[in-house]
Amino acid sequence: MLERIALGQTRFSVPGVSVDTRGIAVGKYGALLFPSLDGVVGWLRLYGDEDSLDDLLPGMKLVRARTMLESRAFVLFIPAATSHVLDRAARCAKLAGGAAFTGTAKHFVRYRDERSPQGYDVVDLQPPPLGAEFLLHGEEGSQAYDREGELDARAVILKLSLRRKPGSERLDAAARAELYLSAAHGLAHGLVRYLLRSRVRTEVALVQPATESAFASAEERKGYLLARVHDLPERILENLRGVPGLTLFRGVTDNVAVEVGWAHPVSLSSCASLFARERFYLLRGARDRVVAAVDAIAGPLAWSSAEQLAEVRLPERAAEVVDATAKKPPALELEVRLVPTLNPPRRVVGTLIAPAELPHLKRLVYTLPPSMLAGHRVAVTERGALLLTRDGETVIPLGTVLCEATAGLLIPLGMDLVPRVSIEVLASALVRQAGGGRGAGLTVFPHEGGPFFVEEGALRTLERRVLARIPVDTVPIVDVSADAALGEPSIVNEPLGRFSLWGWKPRPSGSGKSE
Amino acid sequence: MNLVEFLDGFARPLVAGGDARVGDPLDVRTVVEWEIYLSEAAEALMAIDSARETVASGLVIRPPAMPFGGDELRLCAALYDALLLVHPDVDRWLARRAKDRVRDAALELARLPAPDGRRDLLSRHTTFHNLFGLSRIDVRIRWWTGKAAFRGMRPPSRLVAWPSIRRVTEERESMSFSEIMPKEGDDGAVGRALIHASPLTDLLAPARSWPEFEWRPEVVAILADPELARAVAYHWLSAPNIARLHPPAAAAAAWERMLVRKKVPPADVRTVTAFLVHVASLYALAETGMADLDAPSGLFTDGGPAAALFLALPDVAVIADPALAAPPGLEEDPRLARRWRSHRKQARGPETQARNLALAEKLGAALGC
Repeated sequence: MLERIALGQTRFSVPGVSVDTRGIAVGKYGALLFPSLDGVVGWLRLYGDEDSLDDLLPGMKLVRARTMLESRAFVLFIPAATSHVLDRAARCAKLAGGAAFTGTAKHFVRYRDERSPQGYDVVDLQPPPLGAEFLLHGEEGSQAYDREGELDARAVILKLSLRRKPGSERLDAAARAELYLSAAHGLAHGLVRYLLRSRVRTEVALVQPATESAFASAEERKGYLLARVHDLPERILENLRGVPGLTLFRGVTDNVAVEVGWAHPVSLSSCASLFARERFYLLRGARDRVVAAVDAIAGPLAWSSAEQLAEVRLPERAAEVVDATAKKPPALELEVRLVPTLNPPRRVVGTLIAPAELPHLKRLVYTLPPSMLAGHRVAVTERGALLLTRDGETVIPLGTVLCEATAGLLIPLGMDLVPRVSIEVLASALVRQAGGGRGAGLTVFPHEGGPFFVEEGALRTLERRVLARIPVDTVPIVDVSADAALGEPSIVNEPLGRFSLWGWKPRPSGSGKSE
Repeated sequence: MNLVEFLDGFARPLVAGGDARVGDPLDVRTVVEWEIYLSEAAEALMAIDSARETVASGLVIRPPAMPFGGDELRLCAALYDALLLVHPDVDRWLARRAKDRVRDAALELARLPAPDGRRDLLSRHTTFHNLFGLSRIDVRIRWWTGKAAFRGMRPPSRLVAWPSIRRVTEERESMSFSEIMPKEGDDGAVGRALIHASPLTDLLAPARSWPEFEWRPEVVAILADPELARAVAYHWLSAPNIARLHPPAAAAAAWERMLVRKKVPPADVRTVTAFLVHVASLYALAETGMADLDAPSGLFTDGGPAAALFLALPDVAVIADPALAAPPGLEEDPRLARRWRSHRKQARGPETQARNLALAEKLGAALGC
């Protein structure tokens, strides 16, 4: 039989129960009693929606219990860190058709409710009968339970099927900011080409799910292409939706994504600890199998920019190379060349001075004013000296004047490149084929001789390039900063004497109130 | 005590840290005379001005020139006399009438005209920036036959000699400015006058335990300076994680009191409301790095009722005037906009609806809508 606890009461019959700072009787654990597993799942959904399950999962135990009369129930034990946690757990348990108890070892007493805000204690506590694992003291009486088995609460959450969420297929701009696309092998290249043509920023990775199912098909064991797309336009999203072999996912945490249009019953952001940090999980909704539709991919995933997969080819200079490439099938090959244009001239950024004109440049350096010298950078190559100027500076009038077609690509003034493919794709392809690696640099497309690449590190200021080295000694640096060191002040009272007001001058006349 | 001794013994430690010594009281006439001879104490003032410049450079990019002048000297002298009122020897040696004289002198020195512009605000704040960091070490000595307490004083060596034989125990307690200052009556008025003299100091520490922060016209006027307003917002946000909502929560509580105060200009109410909504958006901005932008925020479970009021303030403002609902440009950052919507969703609940409506009604009346 239960009795209500009075405010300020500190001693209880139930062992392991004490009052917390709010005066509420709380044990080390909370025990949530449910008649079926549905109630447990309902509680996990309700609690996960309100607070983090990550805090409870390490100490959570789900026990399949049996009474002396062979009726069965499920008891979920959670660590009761504070009465705030138990308050929320008890409220959710009540909603899910369960009841909440608190205790430490074998005796669990009914947790507080509206009728007894401080909690309950047991009158005339009896020891548990032989064979009973624990006792739950409710209002109707005390019920002994034996442990029939234990379930893994984590496995219960992971085995839940995704449910269809009507209306969630429509994604707003924020939701489309980052999406994942899985594509079967046959669709991969077509998908990447389509996304690049539509100028969608895309990163791709080939992934292999760690499947343990003997029923997995050969196609499933082969792996697939996973693409991470940014700011996907709604028009393209509609085109991709429903294509066989393509599945759209939306990220819920750093390493978990759920199929668009579906949702996990439990809020996954509240139980992120279920998912290993070193793996990436894709949760699929529509899969005609009984096993959990979770693709666990060994990670962390290494993403590659899809732009590097675009095929853009340049005309080769060497005759033997032309012969060799002529035998290849004529698939997707673009010839990039310079043509005169009447478009408005672009910004002039530098000049390419042929090797024959370099002596003129040397002579010109002696006559140039210091401001103009400081504004130039130069890289001397076998194809000539590439001379670059700062914004707004005058270019030295020598050689072929160059303008910027796009960032990092210089072409002669008055010319343009055809075909007019995406300039970013063109620039990255030019860098790769010219053998300049992937570092920062400039690609120059002169009139003759084909393009060449100059690394950013090779560019020196003109002043530095033309001067010989001057040895300079290193001298120690002396810190002369004027910042004062600030600290905390502390009051120190000096002893006052009997005549501390000696010499106190009265207030000047006319100021303040009179004494 | 002469001017240089006062500057070295009290003003410099107050500004730059160290032991601030409080001894014989200062009268108003002495302070007025010292103002004339301030330029002759340049050597003592150099360290003070250097420390003040360092403090100012943490708030604004280009601190104005603000040499230690008459106003700053008066503030230091007023604080000195105020601290003397809680000196342990005062009740022993000064009669009640003499103590009243010291208090009147402190009050007169602390009553400065309202600051005129950014220079005055910074100049006063850099003098008083350590006000709430002031502490006093109180020592309690017990020995086998008696006990004694020393407030801000070192106990004589004879009392702590032979500790094991005489069974001497020593307890040390650090008392903050808010704890040592008298809070009631005329003595309490001195402390409040000191805070009111430096509105920027007042605004930067709204979460202190005493005196209670209020949105006075001089404090609201600071928000007209965008750089200072930004400095205040960043200072609030830099509070330790455990007390991260304390400054805006105290400011929101003062905002609620401001709504029912009489003769508050509607423009002031609008400015304060917009500023607090802006600060609320900064808390949302701080959470845009989260993986799940729709996840519940811990802010809503950490604080008490005042923090809940601060977090619900945009929802109150949107009812009174939709223009105050969110800072301009918030929608331009999709992650921030999404987190802001998540905060709003978390702040709105059936249990807060009635309170929000009541507050919105008060806000509407204060705004003159």
